[in-house]
Amino acid sequence: MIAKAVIKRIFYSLVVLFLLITFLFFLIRLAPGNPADKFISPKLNAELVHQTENSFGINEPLHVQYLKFVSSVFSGSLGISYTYRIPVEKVVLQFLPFTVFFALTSFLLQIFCSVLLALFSANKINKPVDKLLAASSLIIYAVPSFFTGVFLIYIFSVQLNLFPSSGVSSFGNESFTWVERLIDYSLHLILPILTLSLSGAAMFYKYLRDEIEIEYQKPFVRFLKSHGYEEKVILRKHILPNALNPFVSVAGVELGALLSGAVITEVIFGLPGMGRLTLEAVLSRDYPLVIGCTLASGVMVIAANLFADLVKAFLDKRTLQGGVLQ
Amino acid sequence: MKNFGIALVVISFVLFPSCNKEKNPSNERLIIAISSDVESLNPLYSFTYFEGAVTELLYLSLVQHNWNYEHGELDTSPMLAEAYEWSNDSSSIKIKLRRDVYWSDGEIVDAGDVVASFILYSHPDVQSRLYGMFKSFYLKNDLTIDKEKTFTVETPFSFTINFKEDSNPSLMDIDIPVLPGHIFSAIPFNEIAQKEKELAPITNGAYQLKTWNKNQSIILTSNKNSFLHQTGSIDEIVFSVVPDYNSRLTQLKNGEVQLMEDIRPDDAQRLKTSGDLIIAPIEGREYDYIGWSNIDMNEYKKNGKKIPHKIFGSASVRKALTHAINRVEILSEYFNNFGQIAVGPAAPIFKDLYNSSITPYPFDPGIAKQLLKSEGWKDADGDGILEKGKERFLFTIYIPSGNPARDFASKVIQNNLKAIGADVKIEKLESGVFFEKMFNRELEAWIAGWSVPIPIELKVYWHSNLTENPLNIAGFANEQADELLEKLPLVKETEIKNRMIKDFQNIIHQEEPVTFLYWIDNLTAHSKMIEGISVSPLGAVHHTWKWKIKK
Repeated sequence: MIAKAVIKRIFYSLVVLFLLITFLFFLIRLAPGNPADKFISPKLNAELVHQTENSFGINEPLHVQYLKFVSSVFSGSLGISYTYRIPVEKVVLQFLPFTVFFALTSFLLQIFCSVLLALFSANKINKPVDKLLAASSLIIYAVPSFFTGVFLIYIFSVQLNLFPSSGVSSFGNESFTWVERLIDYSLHLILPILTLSLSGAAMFYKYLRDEIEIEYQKPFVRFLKSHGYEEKVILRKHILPNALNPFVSVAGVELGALLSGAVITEVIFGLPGMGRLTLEAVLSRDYPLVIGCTLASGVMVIAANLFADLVKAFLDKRTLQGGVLQ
Repeated sequence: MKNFGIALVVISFVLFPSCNKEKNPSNERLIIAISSDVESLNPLYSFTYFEGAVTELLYLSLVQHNWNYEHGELDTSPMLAEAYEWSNDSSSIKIKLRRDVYWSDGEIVDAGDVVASFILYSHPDVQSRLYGMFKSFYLKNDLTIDKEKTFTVETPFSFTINFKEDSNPSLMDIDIPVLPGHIFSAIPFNEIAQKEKELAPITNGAYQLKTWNKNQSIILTSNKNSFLHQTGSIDEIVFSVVPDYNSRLTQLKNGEVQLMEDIRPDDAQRLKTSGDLIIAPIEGREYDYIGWSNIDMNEYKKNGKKIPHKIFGSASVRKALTHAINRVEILSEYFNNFGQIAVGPAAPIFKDLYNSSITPYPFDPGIAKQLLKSEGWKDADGDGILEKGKERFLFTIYIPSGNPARDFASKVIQNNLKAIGADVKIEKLESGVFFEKMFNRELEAWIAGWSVPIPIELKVYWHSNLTENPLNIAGFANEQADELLEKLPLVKETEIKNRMIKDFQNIIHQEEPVTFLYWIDNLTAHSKMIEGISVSPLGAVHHTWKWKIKK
């Protein structure tokens, strides 16, 4: 049953993806700007300028460009990036692994911290420590990531000189032992991961803590308590599964967003991720690469949400009948 | 478990300094911060300044340049060419190559590589950055250099380049980085662009590529077999990609990088007090201006007719606008005086051709009002805005977004122009949108800038044939100026050429086709540890093999 639902979901997702890149194909071409501009020298005469523009295929009618694009997509190619001058798939595959690693690490850290703190708060609802955590989480959530990033760099790189402020590795780390290299990568990624994770962790914490509080106020909890069930058992077996359901939905959305690239964090810390790649592709009007990046992001978002739905189905079998995966 | 956690933290902190090696760069490594990665390490496709800086270290050209401060011009000397000799009528140049230069794969660099390189750069299928530029050469119909007519190879290390009759060739025409002909001849020309990334670069320069981590860094190591290598040359040069300006600045202050360009004037002022850094401006390569459409662009695009623009068609109005703008204030307030007021398109760095007798139009709203009055612009209804018949003195100045200097300038300009009775709106456009509209002549007033090529190039920006000279965006037209610009390429005597350029500057000053704002210094900061660096109009990262790090 799950397999059938998943296949159906994937089919619909593919249709959505195709519509998405079609929409984007027209949108980016209708936007002002010309990818050939930077390849045209001021010394070229009008004829050569036209010739250069033609080599990009941008002077053809839009529907002709679209038909070529569709036939290219169905033959498994997204075209050649104007700036990298290699197939778009290859460019995306150069940047995707880092983004997947970066996003998943940040996501797991967000989930781990938020669940831990929410469980801690669950035992101390409305006590001073709970109120302090709730207020802090709101503040952390409200701080924009560019500020967090710069602040962390100032404290830990400039003042304390503990972590590097940019890049994923030290120059010449090829000469390091594998342990040194591992630590080198970790040191480079601690501040970016913190920057990316803090607001997400705060949001998840607030979400889960509030859900737990709502569940605690439900009559069945009072019923279980009156029948002598232990607090721990009630929390683990009855409150958490109910509280986690909406939490997982939000987590799916957050994971999708993280996998699409974290442009601000990537720019501040000079990381080679999908966010920066997409931004550069848009600014340089690299049409095939913009489509490639969007497609990769779309796949990530859909996969993350599908995963979230599967987790929800695992937590609560009723969702299968309820249509979450239908 | 608790003890394990504490132990982990302690171990980590012990290990931190050992791994955080880039905080204390070794004497053998120099790190240069750049804002974005290069797209290509192949000189065929090195479009940007930093791509040029990196490829200069990897590939040798026949000649090299230094900046002559006395005359404000290029001093050219042999590089890969050991010697060269022009024929009496300058219609050909005989070149003798060095015999001690090898490609990184062990092959010797010879005349075949040079000839192959010229063909590669000029062939349309290659789509190189220099396509269409070899105007002094014998060309085929597709603009490829005609190999048979152009090159006479006498020996593997000696050859002659024959130039087209009636051309006026110079050493700039042969200044191309030479490519490994034996590698590229094996690849179909139309596949070179795509295969570039698959090929390990075979180079012949002072440095070799060690690693290129996309969007992270480019690490070059010294080529100890190069004739350019000197005792004490820097072993490793790293171009570190740090996209965020503040992060670059932090790393510079922190000593993580030793050179950075494009420093904001405020920061330069603060960095001046640092004992470890030297602030050095790259002068006179870029100017900002306010473009005024001299002609009605709608009419020109519809019917090809050049009718003066209803406001900016008059030279007196354009001069009035320049008088009304307080350029000195912008220069001192925003740029901290790192720059100078511009009077025309010739930079003061070109000392022998710069017309120093021209003085900038002073900031004087009184003169501005008089000039406008003489053109019939009066505030007849007393609302503070000038009118001429039914036409009101109102217009929009467009600026590209993401440029704080132009943002600041536009506010000052808006206030200045309001004071003389102009109703000016400022509108920001995303830079891609802005430049498309500007090049399509859709804007009537805009703030932009030009980077000045060396040697100076004027015709494409100021000749009235707008089809052949698409960069004359203002639509400026002056018969005398056209005549000078047409004759200039044919004149061989430098003195006459310089005099003509000075005359041209006089015409521009009289016509004021745009309001020239100021020449902006590109501020660079570098560590005091670097010796042998010369920050000139050719840039900061130039002839890097001459640099050493103080012990």
